[in-house]
Formats: sequence, structure tokens, C-alpha cells
Amino acid sequence: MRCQEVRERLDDFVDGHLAPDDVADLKSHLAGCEGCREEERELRDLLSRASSLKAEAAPARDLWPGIRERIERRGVAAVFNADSWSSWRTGAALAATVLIVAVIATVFYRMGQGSATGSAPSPMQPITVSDRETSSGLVQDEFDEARLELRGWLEHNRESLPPETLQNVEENLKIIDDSVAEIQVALDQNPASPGLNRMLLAAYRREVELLQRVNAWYARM
Amino acid sequence: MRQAMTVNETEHEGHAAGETGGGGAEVGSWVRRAREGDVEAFERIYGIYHRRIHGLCLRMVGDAASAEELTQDSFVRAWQKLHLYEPAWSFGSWLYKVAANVVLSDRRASRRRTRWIVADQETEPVADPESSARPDASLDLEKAMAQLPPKARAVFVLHDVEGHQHQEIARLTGIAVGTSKAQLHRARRILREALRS
Repeated sequence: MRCQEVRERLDDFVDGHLAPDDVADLKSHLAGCEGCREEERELRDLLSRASSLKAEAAPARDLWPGIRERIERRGVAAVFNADSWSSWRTGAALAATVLIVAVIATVFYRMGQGSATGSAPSPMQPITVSDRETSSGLVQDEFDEARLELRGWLEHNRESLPPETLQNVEENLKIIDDSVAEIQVALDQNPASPGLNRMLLAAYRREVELLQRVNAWYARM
Repeated sequence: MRQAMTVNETEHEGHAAGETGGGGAEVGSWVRRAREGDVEAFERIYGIYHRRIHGLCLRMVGDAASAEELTQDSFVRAWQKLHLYEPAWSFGSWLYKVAANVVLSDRRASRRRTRWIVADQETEPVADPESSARPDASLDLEKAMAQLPPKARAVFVLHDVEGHQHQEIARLTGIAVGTSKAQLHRARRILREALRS
């Protein structure tokens, strides 16, 4: 193993993700290379420092009054009937479906409007977004939220899904993930590109629709 | 490795929940009441978790003002989405995911508005009010972390500071596992160079 290769694999080595044969090769190289040993020491020192950072940090001011004011101003009821606690499966499927329908409808509504600046709130507004998010950001955030909710649902219910179905879904999600990653790399270079942003939204829509189909199928089981 | 969401559930700092001692059962009770619209119960939940959520936000964004704003956003978002929380899950883990999503969504929205934080120009090192006794090594690391690009910083915090695996980060953030690994590699390289100088 050459130094370059060793240094590229040090992350996997210290994280314990390297195959046993590769570990042996890498250790053999380290034994005879002071430069790479120094790289390893630096990396382990960094990880040691990172893991010792405090997880908790009190804010300098009391944030609760602002939270309470926003909760009460919006009048958003976080309420589901208490009975739904005992019927999560149905509730989750319904909530996710409502969320997706609302997201897609909102996206189509806004895309149809061209610039959504100043547009009136959609009647389907239970989707929650930060007050300060702009309309263009809002669309992606709603997709992000739907995706994460549905992925969480998928993760939670994966044991209940037939293995073939799960494999098929995960393969499709991977294809979409890879597409999103490529588009995001391009967006890093050209964040204002309308074409790239449309591609990103299309990829997200495919992902949400895929998850929606699984969710709806599961709810019918 | 640090557990992703470990909270002293008896800690409340000025918010009344601590009077009963706190604990899993009480958290469950407060969550149930909050889902029914009880703001006082939600304040108790805030009392338990706000340090942890603020700590996460602070590490991920690197400046105190944004962290406070995002902490508030996280709790507002959690209140609005309480009906999606499943009692079988750890409430702390669920809340943590909500907060991480809020932070990452905010960073993405910020990028689209072409005002991504340029850390070395705009961001002060993390100002943790409890950090006066922190060793210099930690301060150096936090200064160096403030230099990281936002995505790399988020992945570094979630993986190396908070203890998540790449699969969890991928689920949490919606990025591919490979992207998470690449961002972590990038973050570690930048940090090692910064700490070396």
C-alpha cells in the first residue's frame, strides 16, 4: 500500500470500517512509515477532541417566551385525538398521505404561479414552515420535510414490509439519492440555475411519490 | 462514542418541570398532554430538552444568534408535528431529528438565498456561555469548525461530535451515505490542516 492510498483510507481505518485484509496491509505500512503514522495520530487526536465537546449548551437567554408566543400566535394545534395513540399505524399513513398531497398540491400551485412571492397561503396550510423562509426555499423545505417524515416511517416499518418490496423501494431510493447528490453538486456551483432547481424538485417529487405509493399500499394491508 | 440523544430528564432551568423529578414516564405524560394542546406541558418538555437541542444547533451553525433562533424554530416545529410522533419511539431522539432537519433546511434555504454563511468572514467561534473553563484544545477545535463549509460541518458534527453513523446521517439529512462519507473526509482534512497551523 502506498502513502496516498493509506491516507485516503485512514478515515475508514479509524472508524473501523476497513476490511480485515486492508487493515493488515495498512498496519503494515504504518509500521514502516513515520509520515503516515503522524497522519493517523493527528486524526485520532481530532476525533478525541471532537468526542469530548459538550453535547449540551444553555442558551444565553430564555427562549421559551418567544416559542410560546409563536405557538399561541399561530394557533397551531398539535392535537390529534388521544385515541390516535393506540392506532398509530393508521394515523401515520393518513398523516403522511395528507402531507404528501398537500406538498404536491402546494408545489404545483406555486410552480403554476411562477414567482410565488406574496401569494396567499394555500388552504392546505397545515404543513409547517418557518416564518422567515422564502417561497422558493419553502417548496424544497416542504419536500424535505415530507421526505424525511416518510423515510422515518419507512425505517420504522421496514420489518413489516416484504423483503422484495423493501429491496425494490431501497434500490429506487438509491437511484434518486444519487441523482439528487449529482444535482446538488451542480447547484453548489450554480445555485441560481432554474433548470437545476427544477431537476432537484422533480427528483424530490419522484421520491415522495414513491414513498407515498409504499405508504398507501401499506395502509391497505 | 456519544449516544445521539442522551438528556438528563430532570433538568429544567427556570421551567417548572423539574419539580416532579422528571423521567421517561413523566415525559410521556407531558407529550400526551402537549398533543392535546397543553402549552404548559410543552414548556416542561422544553425545560428538559432545550440545552441539548441548543447545543446541537450551536455546533451545527457555529454562531450563537442563529443557534438561538433555530432552537426556537425547532421547538415550534416539534409542537406543530407532535401528532406525527409515535410514543414507541424515544421522544428525545424524535425531537433531535426534528431539530437537525430544521437546521439543515435552514442552511439549504440560506444557500438558495445566496447568503450561505462564509464562516471565516462572518461567524464568530461558538460562544457557549458555560464554556469558560473549557480547555484550549476544544476552543481551537471550535474555531476550526467555524471555518468548515456548512455541509461538511453538519456531517462532522453529526458523526464525530454527536456520534451518528453514516446511515443515520443519511436518513436524518436526506443525503446519500457516500455523500456523508465524502463530506466527513473533507471536514476532517480541513480541520487537521487548521489545527496543524
